[in-house]
Amino acid sequence: MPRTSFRDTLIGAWGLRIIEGFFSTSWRLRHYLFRRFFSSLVSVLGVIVLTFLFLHLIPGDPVDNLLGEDARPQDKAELRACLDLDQPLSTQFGRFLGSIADGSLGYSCPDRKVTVKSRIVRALPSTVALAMSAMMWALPVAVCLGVLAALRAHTLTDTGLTAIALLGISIPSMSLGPMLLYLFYILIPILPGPGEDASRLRGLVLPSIMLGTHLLAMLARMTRSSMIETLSEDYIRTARAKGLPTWKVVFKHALRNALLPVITVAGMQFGSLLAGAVVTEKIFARPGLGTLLLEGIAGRDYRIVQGCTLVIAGMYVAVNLLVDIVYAAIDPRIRV
Amino acid sequence: MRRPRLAELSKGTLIGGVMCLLFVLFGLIGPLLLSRPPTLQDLDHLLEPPSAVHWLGTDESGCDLLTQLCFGARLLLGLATTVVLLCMCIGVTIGTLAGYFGGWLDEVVMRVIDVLLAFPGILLNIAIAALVPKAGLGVLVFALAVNGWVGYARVARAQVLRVRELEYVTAARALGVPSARIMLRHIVPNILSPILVQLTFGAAGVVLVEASLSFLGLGPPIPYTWGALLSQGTTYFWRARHILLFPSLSIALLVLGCNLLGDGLRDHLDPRGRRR
Repeated sequence: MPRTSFRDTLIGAWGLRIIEGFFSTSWRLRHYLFRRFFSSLVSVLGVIVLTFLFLHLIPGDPVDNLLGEDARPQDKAELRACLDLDQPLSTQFGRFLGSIADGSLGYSCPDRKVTVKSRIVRALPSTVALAMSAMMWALPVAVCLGVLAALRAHTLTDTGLTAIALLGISIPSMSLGPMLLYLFYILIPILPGPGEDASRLRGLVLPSIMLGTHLLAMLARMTRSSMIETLSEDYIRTARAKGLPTWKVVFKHALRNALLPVITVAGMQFGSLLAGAVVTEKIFARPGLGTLLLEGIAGRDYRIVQGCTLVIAGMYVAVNLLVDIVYAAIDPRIRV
Repeated sequence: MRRPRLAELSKGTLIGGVMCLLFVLFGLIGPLLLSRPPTLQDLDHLLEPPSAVHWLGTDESGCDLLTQLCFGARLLLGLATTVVLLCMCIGVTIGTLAGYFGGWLDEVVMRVIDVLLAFPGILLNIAIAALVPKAGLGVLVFALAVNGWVGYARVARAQVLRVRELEYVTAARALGVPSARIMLRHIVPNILSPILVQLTFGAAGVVLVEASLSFLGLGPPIPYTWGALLSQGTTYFWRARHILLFPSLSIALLVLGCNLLGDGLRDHLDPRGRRR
């Protein structure tokens, strides 16, 4: 590895390496990136096909499924026409692809006035803000706790942190939300309750704690085991034998390598945060993609369910691809 | 696979194992010891905190929480076992075939897995549960199995890729043993230990997904599944703390037990991760 100061590593080197990665790459990296891009493309196509087929894969008549068997015949006919179910499957798929291509994602089905896109665009920022804020506090805290646990491996500190992390993984988020509200809204009223201040930063605190806790626990465990593994490598022993101060060995030599898998997993978990936001948004009565999805389910608005699923899955695939590209660019073992 | 002796297992593994065992006993024997059905309403005692008559208190319609948790445990035990075994059978079959034969079959299987993995978390489960006309246990099993097998398939495939190059498999092939018999008799028994680890994590996943789906109103229409109890707890939390506390605690302890057991078994089976 080239000699850079720790500050450079944090600020400049990753960005530089990404750029460097694209231009000075070997054939193998390009091949890898191409393959990775191709498989993402296949995933997206698969997601589109599967989302399209949702209605048809579930046994029974889709219209009966949505409206119930004893709905009025004219309502059924109307929904059937609205969902293009009176067309042959190929036409349906063509129109579905068309609605993705022009970005509208189709019309909302019981009432045709609004496009799905307009509703998703309105809901998306709030959910992305929630997921990002959860990631932004969970990742650094997890890394600190994980490193601490690894440095004090097999001591009381380590056992305590591991126990807390296990608890964080095990506790269902549905019970965490109300408990947080009880603590910080009722007992010590310092933060806004459900449905209040949803667009402001204050309103984001409790939801992001609730959404981020599981991630925090998972990442802390990963950091710990990755760090312990890295600390037992030969080059760490060499660095220590050279007489380098411990902090330098830990932060400069070990952490940089130990963090790679953690960052990858963190990136991959971003999509899960988007899905987890469904529960969080319900508890805190926040507007967002999850709320929109539940509205779509309650109103039997199939296009909304389809659109939300598609957008969340699409973002998930995109983020994963991005993480892999960054990973390939910064990890010399993949590059050469 | 050599059977691990109890003394070799770490403390965490044993604690996790005991917790899982207690849950199984709670679900199997508990309902036999209780005299009343879980839906029996005691209308004089609504939302009451724990007392001598109702050990864990009552919910908003006067049902005894302990009885409900107990019958819920039996239901959950059945559900988790069904889902996990179903997923394992599908996953191991597909993963083994893909790993053993490779080629286009492997390619197709991996792409299908990629597509299913492109749906984050419980999104696919939500979408499926939302589209069926009537929620029920069968729907839940279906929704959980649709993407549940993927984990087993990946583990099985990775293991088969390793095992199929070993000498005894080559020897069997050289002797002219048919592929099906090689897979069944020589490969599958040797890849079961990582699958076992996957099973415990899978069970924990089933519990959490059931809780999430019930919370979102997409679970089976049974008032005493653990998810339904938890969901009801969040609704009435403001009036009575205990009806959220006990279901949360039950779910957290069970998931914790599964995680401890799974972690312990994985460390035990994987010599690289074993602590000294």
